[in-house]
Amino acid sequence: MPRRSYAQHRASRVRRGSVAESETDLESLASYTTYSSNFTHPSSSGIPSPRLQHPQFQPLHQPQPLRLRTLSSTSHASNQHLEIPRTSRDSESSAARQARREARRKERERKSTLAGEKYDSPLRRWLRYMGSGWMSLGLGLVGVGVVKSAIGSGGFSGKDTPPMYGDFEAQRHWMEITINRPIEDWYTWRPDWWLLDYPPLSAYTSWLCGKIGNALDRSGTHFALNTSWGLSPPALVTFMRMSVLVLEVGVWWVAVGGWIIAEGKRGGRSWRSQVTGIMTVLLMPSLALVDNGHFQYNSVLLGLSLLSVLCFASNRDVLGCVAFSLALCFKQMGLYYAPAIGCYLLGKCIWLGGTRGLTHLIKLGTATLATFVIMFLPWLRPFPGALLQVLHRLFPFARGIFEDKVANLWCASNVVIKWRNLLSTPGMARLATATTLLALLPTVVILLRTSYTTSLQRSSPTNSNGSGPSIVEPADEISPPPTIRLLPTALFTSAMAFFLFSFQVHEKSILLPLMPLTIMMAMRGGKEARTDDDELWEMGVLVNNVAVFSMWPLLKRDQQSLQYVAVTFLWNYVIGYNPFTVSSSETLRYGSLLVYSIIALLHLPDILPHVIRPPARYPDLWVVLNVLLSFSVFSISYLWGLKKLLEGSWAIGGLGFESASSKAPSAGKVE
Amino acid sequence: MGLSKGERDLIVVSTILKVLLFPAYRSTDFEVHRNWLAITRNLPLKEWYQDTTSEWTLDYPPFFAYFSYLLSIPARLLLPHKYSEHILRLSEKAVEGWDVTGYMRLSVLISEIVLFTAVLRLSKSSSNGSSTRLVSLAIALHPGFIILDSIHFQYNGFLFGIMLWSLIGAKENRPIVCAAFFAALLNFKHIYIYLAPAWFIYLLRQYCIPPGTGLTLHLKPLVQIGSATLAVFAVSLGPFLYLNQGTQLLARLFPFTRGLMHAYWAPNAWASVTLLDRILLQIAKHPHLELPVSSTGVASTSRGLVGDTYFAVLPNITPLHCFLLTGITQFVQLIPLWRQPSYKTFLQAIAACGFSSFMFGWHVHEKAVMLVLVPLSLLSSEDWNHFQAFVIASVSGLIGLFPLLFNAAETPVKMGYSLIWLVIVCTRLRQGASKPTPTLASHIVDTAQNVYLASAIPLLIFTSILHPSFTLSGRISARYEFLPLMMTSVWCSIGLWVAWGRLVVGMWLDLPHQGGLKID
Repeated sequence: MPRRSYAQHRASRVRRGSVAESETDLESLASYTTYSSNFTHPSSSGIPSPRLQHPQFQPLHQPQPLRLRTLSSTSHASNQHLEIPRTSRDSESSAARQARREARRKERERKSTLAGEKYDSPLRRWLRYMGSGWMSLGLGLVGVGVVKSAIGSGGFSGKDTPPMYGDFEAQRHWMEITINRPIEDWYTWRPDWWLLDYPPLSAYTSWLCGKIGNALDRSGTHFALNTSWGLSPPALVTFMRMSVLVLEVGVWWVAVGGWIIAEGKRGGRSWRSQVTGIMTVLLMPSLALVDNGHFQYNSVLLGLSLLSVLCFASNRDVLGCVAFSLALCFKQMGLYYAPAIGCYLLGKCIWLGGTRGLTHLIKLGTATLATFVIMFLPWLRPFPGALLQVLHRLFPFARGIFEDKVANLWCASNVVIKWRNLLSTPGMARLATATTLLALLPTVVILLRTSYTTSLQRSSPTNSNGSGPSIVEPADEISPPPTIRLLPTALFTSAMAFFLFSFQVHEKSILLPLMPLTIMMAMRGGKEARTDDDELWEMGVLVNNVAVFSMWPLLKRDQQSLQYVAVTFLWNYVIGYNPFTVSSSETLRYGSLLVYSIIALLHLPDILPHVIRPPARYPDLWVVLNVLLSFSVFSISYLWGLKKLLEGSWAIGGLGFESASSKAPSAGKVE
Repeated sequence: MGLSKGERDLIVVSTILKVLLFPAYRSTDFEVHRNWLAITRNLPLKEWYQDTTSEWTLDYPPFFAYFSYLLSIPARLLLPHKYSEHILRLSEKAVEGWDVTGYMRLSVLISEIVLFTAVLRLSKSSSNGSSTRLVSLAIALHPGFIILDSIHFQYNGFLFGIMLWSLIGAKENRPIVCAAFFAALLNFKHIYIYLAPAWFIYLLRQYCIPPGTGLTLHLKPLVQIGSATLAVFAVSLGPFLYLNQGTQLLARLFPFTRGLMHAYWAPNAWASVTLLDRILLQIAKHPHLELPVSSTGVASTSRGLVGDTYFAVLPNITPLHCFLLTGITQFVQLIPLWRQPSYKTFLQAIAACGFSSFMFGWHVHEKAVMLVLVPLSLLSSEDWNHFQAFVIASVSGLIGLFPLLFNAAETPVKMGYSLIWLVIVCTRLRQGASKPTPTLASHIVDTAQNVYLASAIPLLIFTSILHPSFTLSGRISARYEFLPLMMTSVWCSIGLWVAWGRLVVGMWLDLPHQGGLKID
């Protein structure tokens, strides 16, 4: 295609409506403003904005009035105005160029999140209606808050189920312990009730919540030592629910907003796509059901972990280390991410190479160690007795391989192999640890290997043909290594490896692999779309839905059946998911349909409990089938994640020196 | 059905929200309505208005009783006996359980289909489509309905749906439909009798004595409209009159034993008067003054939360005062409708009648504010003045509804949902309304209104965060428990006064321009 001046290029883009993003759409619910505002606010939208009237942007041939674009930016009406200005140069093949241009326009429209049929969803329709201001995000967040507090009106873990109650009582009891007992007693107080088994940051948070809750409780009974066990009056429940919501907003929402907006800016996504992404992640049904329904504070752990990744992505590694250490100090389950994050950071030191790498490593190590020391300070004396006591609480290897039915290897294979009869608990623990390490190996190897090879490319000037910014030396100070692109996938595979193969897994732990998957899938489509965009999105939704399903026995016990159905449907509906139109691959479409049909079948006994009964020999049949289905989907998603990781590594030239040199020019293009 | 994608989205999402609110707080109205199902299911027709097994006796007109009976049928047909027996049990004590909750909540959800179909019909029946669509959807998704029906528990959405169907009849020039639906509405819930004068004048003037023809009576429409109305009443009341239940029915429908103020202070004229009384009482307590103080009134101050209110210093208000004030103001406001009957003046008259009854009525419940908010919403896209009246009335009316859900658990839902609704509806309507060139007076009024609206934020912070926290932590004595309620009522009543003023002024200002026009 012959070169054109920027002004020409710009002018043609203006005509196609792709310069300023048009936020209006005739399809929108009550498209009121588009027409009428032209008459009432003559300066706002009816007339081409001053920016576009600037002489520099004036097209050679004055196109149709821009108002037409506003009215029908997505409809075919605008196609008629795509007449190419005939200049003397293109006499040879104007028809061919016209056809080519038409094809490109079609392609662009198909890929456009604004016009593409595929991307149309209630969320996007709503955002189109709302326009591009901050208000769309603000009201969206309020809406999420409304939904989450509405979930809170339902049941919670251990509601009215003496003698031990459940997670709600555990959290309340920890507030009771921390505000009433001296700090050295926190991990030992009353072994006959819920012993504190989360790390110090959780305990400090409990203390803070307890202090506030106690101040707000005139009766003084809600957190009274030893007499408040099992209490759940409405005022207390409301307070606890609010504490989850406030912490969630403060940590998780901030992290998600920060991540999506940063990623969106990096990828040149529209504001609409960014808000869609934020809403997609925040409405994630599994987290809403566990945190706002079942009652836990997982969002804090996930938020801190995501914040650390956000820090790494903006090259603030020390801060990231602190954030991740805090995540680990909030819930030890954060360890699921540790291999990925550790290998990324180690890889970065390798990538930096030499003394710089070593200093970096020392800095990171110091920051991590310092955070842990500060967090564990009250338990450092007497050393190491008190510390060991805490660690023993955090990692209870004395318990069995699994408690409830959980969709991991051990529970799923328990159908055929009775592990408990074969091996002792310590033996089982060793086997599980070995298997987990094996499953982590690919992630670790890929991350380290990619760091190593990219560092070689970086240091050898022959290969730096100027294609990727990461290859230029001074960029080290401001941009992270190329492996940062692999980090979310690595977090997914690493957490999934833990979930599938490790010892003592809870069904709620599926949230950890879900988080990186969901933030990866959240932004979809658009001109900047990667080729595997749809696959990522459709896989993400499938795994999310199966994850909710895998927690069904738990949620049912918590009297959350209604919320389970409503929230899952809401999420799938607003993001515009329809399993029948899964488009990335036939396998995925039929696979998803198969999975959903089995899920539907497995719910039949819940709908008709008196008609469909499990055989007397297998009272847990439905739960076991649930585990088998979920385990299969999770393992497939794990393998799929590894494949993505490999592909990603290959794309940034991290797989080997030879292939990397041939692939190096594409490094900038892929991400 | 011609649902656009956007409309489908809104309906689906709002339905999911309502489903999520199934387990939320519900008032005693829940048991009231359930008990009516039990009464109509278990007793013969002639005992419906006699039964006193539960304290929540049937005190809505017969159509609602039939409706309760209708609602009890699916339970019998579809549910296993164990559940249907439980749900429809006639008992003195409240019947509780997830089956009851689910069934009753679901019945509200399904009954709202009447509202949604009416709204869809309304949105398509107009020439200036987009603003009507916006307004109709705004009514269907009104936070008032979420608060009153989906949480507090009532069937307002269903009832207002019937009202909208009657308005559709008026708009589409089908007087019989209009009259029959309104008669039916009256026989569902007699509170709508406050709006009846507007319907009466409109139907009379539009069809039977059209303006411009002197006072000639057109007999044919009169007979048609009259017989349709009478037929509806006959279906409703006939069986009970036949069974000799007439007086009992009347006694149940119009109990004159309740006090001026319901449960807490509805944000109406009497809220301002009560505040004045409370202030005067403090002055009267001063030893140097020898003002006569009523002891029941003094006792009444300390409660504020439940029970009837009596004035300590000011003379007590009797039902007669209320009816006179309501009647006179309604009469005056119906003059424009009489002079110039049109759909627009009809809506104005409905809103004005709603205001009269709400502001001056006897024993007004804060829920009655919907009588004002719904017709005002329909007028909101008319012009700037009506838009402003709609904004201020919606804000103060909704805030006036907040204390109905007094638990903190529902606070984010009621406030968040109202905020989303208000922001979207008001910004959109504002973009559509053309602001006239401001005069000094209108500028002052608009500015004052904005200041007033902004003051909602400190009010809400005080009443829903500061005051409860201070009370809970013991920094404010529980004696002042009535304080947030009083502040809310007085604050909201100011807004409603302004809205009413705007409406009335608008009605009279509209007249001279069109005085010469004769619309038939």
